[in-house]
Amino acid sequence: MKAKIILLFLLCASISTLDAANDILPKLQFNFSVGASYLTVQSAVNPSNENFVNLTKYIDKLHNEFNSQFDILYFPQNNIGYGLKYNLYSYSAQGQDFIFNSDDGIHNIVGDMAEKDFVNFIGPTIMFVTNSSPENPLKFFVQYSVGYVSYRSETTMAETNILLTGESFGTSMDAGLHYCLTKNLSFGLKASLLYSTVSNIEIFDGLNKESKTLDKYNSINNSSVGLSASISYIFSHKK
Amino acid sequence: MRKLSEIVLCILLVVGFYGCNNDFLNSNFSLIFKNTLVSSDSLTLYFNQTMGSYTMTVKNAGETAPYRIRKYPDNIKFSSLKGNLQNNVLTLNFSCTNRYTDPSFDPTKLGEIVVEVEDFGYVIIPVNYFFTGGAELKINKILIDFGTTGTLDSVEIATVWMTKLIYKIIEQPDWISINDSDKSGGLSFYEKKQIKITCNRTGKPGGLYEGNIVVQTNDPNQLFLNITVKMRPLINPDELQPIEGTVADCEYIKSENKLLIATKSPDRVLIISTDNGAKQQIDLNHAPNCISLSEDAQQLFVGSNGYVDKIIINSLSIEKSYNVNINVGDIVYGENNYCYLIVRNISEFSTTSDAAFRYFNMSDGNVFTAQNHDIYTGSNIIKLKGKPYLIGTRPYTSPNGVALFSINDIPTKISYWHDSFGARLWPSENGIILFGTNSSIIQTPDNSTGTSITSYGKLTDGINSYSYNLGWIDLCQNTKSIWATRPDYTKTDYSDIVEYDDTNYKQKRVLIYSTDYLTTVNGINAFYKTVPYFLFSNKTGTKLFAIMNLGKSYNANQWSIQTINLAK
Repeated sequence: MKAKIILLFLLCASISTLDAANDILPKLQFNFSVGASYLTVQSAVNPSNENFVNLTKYIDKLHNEFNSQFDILYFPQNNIGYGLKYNLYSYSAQGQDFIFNSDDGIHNIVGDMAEKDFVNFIGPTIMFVTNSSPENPLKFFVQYSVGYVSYRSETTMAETNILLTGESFGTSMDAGLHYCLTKNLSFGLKASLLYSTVSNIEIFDGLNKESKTLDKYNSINNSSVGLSASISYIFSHKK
Repeated sequence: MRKLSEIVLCILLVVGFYGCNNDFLNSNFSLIFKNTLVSSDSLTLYFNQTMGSYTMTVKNAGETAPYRIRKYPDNIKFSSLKGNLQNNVLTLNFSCTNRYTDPSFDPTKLGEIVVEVEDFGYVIIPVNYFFTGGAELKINKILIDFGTTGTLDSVEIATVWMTKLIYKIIEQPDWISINDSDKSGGLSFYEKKQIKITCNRTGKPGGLYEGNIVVQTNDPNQLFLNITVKMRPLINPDELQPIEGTVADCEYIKSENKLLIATKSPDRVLIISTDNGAKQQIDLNHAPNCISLSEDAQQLFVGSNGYVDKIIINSLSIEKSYNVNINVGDIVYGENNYCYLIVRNISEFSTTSDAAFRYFNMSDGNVFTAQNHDIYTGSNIIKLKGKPYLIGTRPYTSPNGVALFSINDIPTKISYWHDSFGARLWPSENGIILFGTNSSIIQTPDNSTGTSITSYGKLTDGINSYSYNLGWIDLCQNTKSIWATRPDYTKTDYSDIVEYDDTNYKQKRVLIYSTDYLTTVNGINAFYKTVPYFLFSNKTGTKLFAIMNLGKSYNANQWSIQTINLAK
């Protein structure tokens, strides 16, 4: 994980050393970024319990996620843009020999487990751009968003597939640096923060659906921190 | 820029498609058939068991096929969830912990172990758990005596622990019935339960019935609780037969297993075959006081007040009746055509030696008085088998003394020993030893005996050093037993029946026998305590016959004969 972050940082640093174009005040801007995130939630599983050794490793894998982001912004002023943002976070893990407690309260079930989780975020966003004079190609920005979060988990437990879905609201905050390569194109690096918990979920095994409301101790926390490389395309410029 | 937009759009579509595709759920409904082998040999875990092993053969699987445990009760921990069969043998080693289930006396189904064997299928091993728990049982009584009339009673059981008490009646006498719903159950904290117990005497032969209702419980201090139940049908047992009249004397012919009982009112001699119970009787003209057999057991001599009757046993007839003009207290036949008589004592305080010892010639009936005899009225005399000697003892004097007489015709005293060996003496089978009623064992005196008779000690119970007074003695050569009645002076109206070893003279056992006899005394029909006065064993030593009368405290005569089966 650390190696990935360092590589991304070096990439961005190299991009930032490119010769920047001047006089690029955006009016309509499209941003795309990809990067890595880390789920901030801590596992309640006791790693010293040998029944949960495999589960601990499994959860460690789940912390590492991929994220991608699209947003489009309109800048009525030089340093403030408004727009719409979409984020997709995905993470997955698989492991063997998990010990599950069965519903009968008597048996343990031994099986494999795998899951692919997706967190979609969409909502209005506002971006503050500092140091946005045409003479200076290096820009610092802060972006704040609130919106709708959709959670989807494709889980296989002991040879049974289930789909968990849920919805909630979330907030997202990004901050980063961009360097304008051309009049229309800029690259950069940004750090992201997502806060979202899902407490109303739906469990579907392909035949039956069951809705559950999770208490605050068991709700699904999708909050994460991430680092992404981003690219921006400016459709039109201010005169 | 347009290309970039298209690429981004494509990525969004792909992500969106996979992000919303539910096809992976379809595999939940795709059936995959796998062999299932259910083991016929369950694994049973016990409370406090910490580890164990289970082995079974999985035929039709690969000899070393890999396996994987897929399901198991959570109180089991396997050393490994995976492994390989060894020559088709599945071996599971595990540790386990306690599981607190509902207590039960039988193993209860806990769950199962499911093992997936590669290229074979599933092996299912049923798992049972044996947990009886623990509780404290309280019971209000452990003895129920239904007596002669009671039919219904109950016991109350309760628990005082927080844990559940379970119980199960596992044994009961066949004359006891208990409702099925009461035979087993469980009681929670401070719960109580009445167990109704019914006594059924119908069709039961007489006798005292005593048995135990055995209750299995999970009380660690009373895992098997005995509730003693007793009852007695209001009839005499088959082995107890009444004897009409008052028993005066008895003899037993061991070679023929015949019991001879002389009774007054009616005056007769009963002859009972103890092999088959057949009874014969010889009616007498006078109330008998005593009887004596000839050595060949063909003739019986009956002494009464003023008369001696000679009876031929086989013909069941009185051959001759002799007027002897004395009240005969004891009689022996000298095998010399003379009978020797002791005058009956009127009272134990008026015993006298005056003309107490008589003899008479059976040819002419002439009665003579013996001289210089040291014999008192009420004395006992015996004849030594095959020898012309009589031995007499005096019950009413102290010491009892022993007098030895030769009886060629006139009884001539050989010697007298002023010592006590008991009121009465019984000779051993070979006649060498005499057993006295004060438990003495002495050498049979003869004309070479000096001033004292050689003593061989006492019949002993091996515990106490003192001498018991015995009531009656009988010897059984076949079992080398000496049977004796031994009055217990610590109990009213009771006498032990004791068996001594004829080789070392130590007590072998005290017999348990019925002392209760259903009869009517002073208009009251009830069970009364009886005491054995005469005791005989049969030739083989398999049966004892006790001639019994009511205890002295009842001041009544109700005689009976009890057959005691020693072979049981």
